[in-house]
This record gives sequence, C-alpha cells and structure tokens, in this order.
Amino acid sequence: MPYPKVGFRRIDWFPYGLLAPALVVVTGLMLYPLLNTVWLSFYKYSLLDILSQEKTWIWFGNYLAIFKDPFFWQVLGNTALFTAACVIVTMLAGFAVAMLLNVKFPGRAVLGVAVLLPWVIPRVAASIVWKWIFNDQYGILNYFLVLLGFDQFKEFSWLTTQMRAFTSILIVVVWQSFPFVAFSLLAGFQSISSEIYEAAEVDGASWWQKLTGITLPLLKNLLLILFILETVWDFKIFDQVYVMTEGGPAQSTYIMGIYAWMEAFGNMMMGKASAIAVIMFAILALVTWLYIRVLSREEEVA
Amino acid sequence: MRKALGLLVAVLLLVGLAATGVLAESKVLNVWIMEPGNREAITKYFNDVNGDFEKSHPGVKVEIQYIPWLSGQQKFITSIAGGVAPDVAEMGSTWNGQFADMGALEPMDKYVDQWGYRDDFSPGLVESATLDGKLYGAPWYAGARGLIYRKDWFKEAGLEAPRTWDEFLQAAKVLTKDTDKDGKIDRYGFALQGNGRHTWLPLIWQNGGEIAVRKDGKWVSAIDQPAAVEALKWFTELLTRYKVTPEASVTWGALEARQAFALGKAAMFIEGSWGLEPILKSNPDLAGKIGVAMMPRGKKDGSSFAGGSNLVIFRQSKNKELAAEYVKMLLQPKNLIDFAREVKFFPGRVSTYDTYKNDPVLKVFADQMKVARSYPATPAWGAVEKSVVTNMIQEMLSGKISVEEGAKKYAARMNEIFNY
Repeated sequence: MPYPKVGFRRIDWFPYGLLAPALVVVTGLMLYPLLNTVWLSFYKYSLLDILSQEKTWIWFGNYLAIFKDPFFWQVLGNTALFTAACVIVTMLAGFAVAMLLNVKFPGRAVLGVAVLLPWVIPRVAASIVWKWIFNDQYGILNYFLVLLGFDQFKEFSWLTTQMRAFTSILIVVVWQSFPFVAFSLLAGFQSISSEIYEAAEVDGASWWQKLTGITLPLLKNLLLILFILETVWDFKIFDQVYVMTEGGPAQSTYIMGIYAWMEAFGNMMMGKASAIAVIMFAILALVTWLYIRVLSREEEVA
Repeated sequence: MRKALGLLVAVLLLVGLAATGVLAESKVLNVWIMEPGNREAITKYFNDVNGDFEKSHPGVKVEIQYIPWLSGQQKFITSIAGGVAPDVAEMGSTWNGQFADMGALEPMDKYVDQWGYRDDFSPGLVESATLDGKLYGAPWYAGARGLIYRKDWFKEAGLEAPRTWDEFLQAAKVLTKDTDKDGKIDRYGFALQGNGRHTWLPLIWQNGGEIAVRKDGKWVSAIDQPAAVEALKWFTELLTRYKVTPEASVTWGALEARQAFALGKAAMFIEGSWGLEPILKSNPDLAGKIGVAMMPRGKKDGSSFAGGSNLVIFRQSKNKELAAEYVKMLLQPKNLIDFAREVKFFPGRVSTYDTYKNDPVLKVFADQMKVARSYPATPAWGAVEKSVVTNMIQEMLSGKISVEEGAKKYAARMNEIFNY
C-alpha cells in the first residue's frame, strides 16, 4: 500500500484531497472571473447600476455593436501590428543579448545582472521613468541626442503622433521583456553540447552555418514557446500604454487592453467592456492553439 | 496547579477586558482626500484638525488616505463595488452627480439643515452636488482658472494683459519668438493644453454657446452649434494655424504647460491660483515677473469653470453621524479658510470671500470665481469627460478631423452617452 486509505467505498479520496487547494485557487482566481466576464458580456450593464445590480440580458448585442464599430477594427489592427513589432524586436534583442552572454569575457556576471534589472522593475514604475526620459522639455533622451549633435531633437516630442508614440512605447515594452527571452535562450544555448559545435568546426562550418544548422533547429521548441508567451503578453499590454499616453493623442495609441478599460471605467459600459475582454481571450486562445499545433506537428515529423 | 490556573484565568480576564474596552471605544473614521500639490502642508493641516477632532471625540481615530486625481474616480468605483468605501471623502464636483446617481452617497440635507447655513454655500458647488432636489455633498472649496502671464515679457513688448480673444491672439503672436536666432522658435506666446479640458470647455461659454442643454428632461449636446464650433476652432487654430504654442502641447496637461511656463518657454498659460507656488518653486527667478488676469472675453464674457470639491458621506459608512460631525468640523470658517489657503482655492462658503479683497493676486481669481460656471450636472458627465472631450480636442489639434466635423461627430457620441 503506497499511501493510507482515507476515503469511503472504493473511491480513494486522498489524491483529490491533495489537489483540492490548487483546484480551489484555480477556480476562484481564474475560472470564476473568466466565466463571470463571459456572463456579463451578454448584458447591458452600466457601472452606474453597480449598487442596484440592474442589468438587461441582450444576447449578443454587445458583440454586434463592437463588430459594427469601425473603431474596434482600427484598435484590433493597431494591437496586432504593435504586438507583432514588439514580439519580433523583443526576440531579436533577447537573442542577441543571449549570444553575447554566452561568450566568456570578463565582467560577464555583472552584465548578466544588469540585463536582468529591467525585468525586475515594476512595469508602472518603469513606464513613469521612461515618460520622463521621453519628455520633450526636460527629458534626458533629447538632452543626450542634442549633446551628440542631433539638433533636430531639441524639444522633440516623442508622444504626439501615432507613429512616434507607438515607437516610444515599443522601446519601453521591449526594454522590459527582452531579459526574459535572453535568459531563457541562454539556458537553451548552454544545453547544447559543445561537441556538436566542435564537430561542425572540424568540418569547416562558418558562424552562420553553425547558427542556422545547429543552434536554431535544436532550440526550435524553446523559441516557439517564447513566441507564444511573448505574443500573449504583448497582446494584452495595458500598463505601459496607460501610463505613457493613456491611449492618446486622440485615441491613436488605443490597443485592446486600453479599449476594454475605457469602456468599463470611462464610459461605464461594463457589458461592452466584458465583451471586448472575451474577444481578446478568444483571439489569444486561437493564437496559442495554432502555435501548439505547429509545435506538436513538428515533433511528429521529427 | 490551582494557583497557575487561577493566574491564567486572571490574565485572560484582564486581556478580555482590555480588548472589549478597546473595541467598544475605538472607532476608525476613514477619510479620502484627493492628492494635493503641496502634500507636506496638507498633511500638517490634517494632523492639526484631526488632533482636535480626536480630542473632542475620545476613542475616535481619523485615518487620512490621499487619492491621486487621475485614478480617483476608478478607485471610488472599485471601493464601492468591494463594499469598502470610505466614511468621508473629498469628491471632485464633476463626479458628485454620478456617484449620487449610483446610490453610493448619503443625502446631506438633514445635516446641513441642522448646521443652518445652507444659503452660505457657493451656488456653483451646490448645483454640482444636487440631484433631484437632494444635496449629496457639502461644498468644500472651488477655484477658477485664469490667465497667468510673464509680466516682464509683456512690458518689453509694450503689451498689456489681454482682455479679449483678439488681444490674446495678438499678444501670443508677438511673444512667439526665436530668441537665439537659430531658426527654431524657442519661446512661445502660449502653452496650450491638448489634455486640459477645463481650459477648453469654458471657451464655448465665453462665445455664448453651451456644452449641453436640457430639453424635455433629457440632456442634448450643443457642442456642434455655431457658437461652440467657432470657439473650438479659434483655440485649435492657435496651434494649427498661428503656431503660437509648441507642437507637443497636443498632449500637454496642466503640469506640462506649467513646466513650459516655469522654464521660460511660454509667455502665457491657463491655470488657477494653485499653480503659482509650484512655478516659483521650480524657478525662483520668476519672482515678481508673473502676472495674473481674468480669462480673455469672447463674444459673451470671460467665464471659466468653477472646479472644486465637495465633502461627501458614503452610504456604506457605518459611522454616518460621526462622519457628519467631521464634515461639520472641516466646514468651520477657520478650518475652511486655512485649507483653502493651502490648496490655493476659495472656500465653499461665500461669507468667507472678504478675506481676499486686499490680495492683488487672489482678488483676480476671486473675481474670476464670480463668472465661473459648472458643467451639466448629469450622471453621464464623467463618461463625457473621459471619452468625448479630450479625444475631440486632440483629433482637432492633430488635424485628424476638421473642427466642424469633429464637433458633429462628438456631439453624436455625447448624445449616445446621455441616452445609454
């Protein structure tokens, strides 16, 4: 008998007992809010009625209104493009830093700690600091750029047009997320046996050939997982945009997270905001499913 | 053994007595105050008045929590939803109607009638706190924005403080300069606030228009009417046509405009008397160089927005009588004037206004208060502010939409919110 028999009849309750705390937490903290959001998305429910709890069941009314609104498609487009840009730049930056840290040189440990810092700083705090850095009047970014001789950056406003604002936010997002990618990849690099590279060197493989022939194929699963995680994280970004532009100027940096927040707490339309959140959830679920399918098919072939 | 047991019982009894004694007598009064610009002075103020209050109400502990303006509304909503609303709170006057309509606030007529000075309250604030004939907040303080300008630069250019829109534009044009001749403007006539709705909406009143009017028991937007469109166009063109304000001002709020003024990059900007001290703090060289004037007059007048706060009691409070006592204490003339002085606003009781007649700066703002108005007292106003006003202004400023079309588009959006 591997463990004591606790239950009655023939059901062994012990494993369930062990699982219970985790199940309670998962249900309470994840499943309940999720289902509640889905449920709310079928109601016309104003935040003004939060105490009376008056709401009207309108079936798919919120979804229809959202899909009919050209602004939703604009926001969705913005979000998709911005997410793609963030993911690509983050992965490239993370990869480059991982390669750098994989080389032995004096001060590597110090650099490793320094690289980790942006990831440790709370997002809101970091965004506020970056907002100062980007400030057109007294930001240090413009100050240094002018010192370096780029006079066109004197009082350059980083947040006034859509392109500039998105670029600034992208810098902050990438700055905060590349350390995770870098360290995950570094671990991956070090899991590849050096003998494989030595063998390739004997055969006269170039640096590029080693990268595309050995490193990338062997790290494919890790890369895919990082892509999924980064996509999910960047798609639902809120803090950085909220702090830096609040979706402005003139709603030009609206992304899905800000859109849902504004409908909920700006326009008080909780039902509509829940519907937006459900749409976000559906899109991310689909993306994740696609990634995982690709991943598992690759494994079957291999 | 018996001895030990006896001792244990005695100790338990003592502890129990002490505990029940403490529980019976100590009450915590939770008070939320909006984050002030000068936190130290305000903290000292509350230490003093709360000390007095705690002395006259033994066993009561007043806990002050400071709430940032930007996230304040949301914080109130989530605390109400979570059943943990404070007992007393400072409530921005434009939010009062909304939270009263939500049923979150306790009507204050009963208390105000006991205090016996209902008629002394500032009428603009009373209006902001009134819903269906009931008063849901006690006027605390209010202030109106005026024009803050560089006296020395105006003198250099031979200009007087502008009294009309035309004079304002003229001065702004003259004072926009490339002072170091590097081909780039480095001093602007005006620091506009693309993210400063209280500097925009009164323009509509100044030109004889309205933001929204009440028709047959319903609010209808009026920002697409000619007087309003003309006003919005005039201000938008300060950036798009006359370029007398920096390009970045599309995203500026009061803080950024104030900073530009303090750094000597703008000759004029719109703010209340509370902005003066921070300017001198960040740039003491400006002492004696700052002038204040009433808002320039449009076709009708030079009105401004009477922005302020009321003191409210939340319906969820378990200490309503005590909360009312606390509000009453804050509204005593001395406490009221002291607080108003610290936040650079004007007290919610008109009888205190005489205090300012000999102050050359505060007198101007007190006069401005007399022509200051309130926004439509609809529960939907919060939503209108958040999703109509700033978006409309920024779209117009960045040229995404013409002023005429923008006014039409956002009037429709406003009506949609009024009717939700």
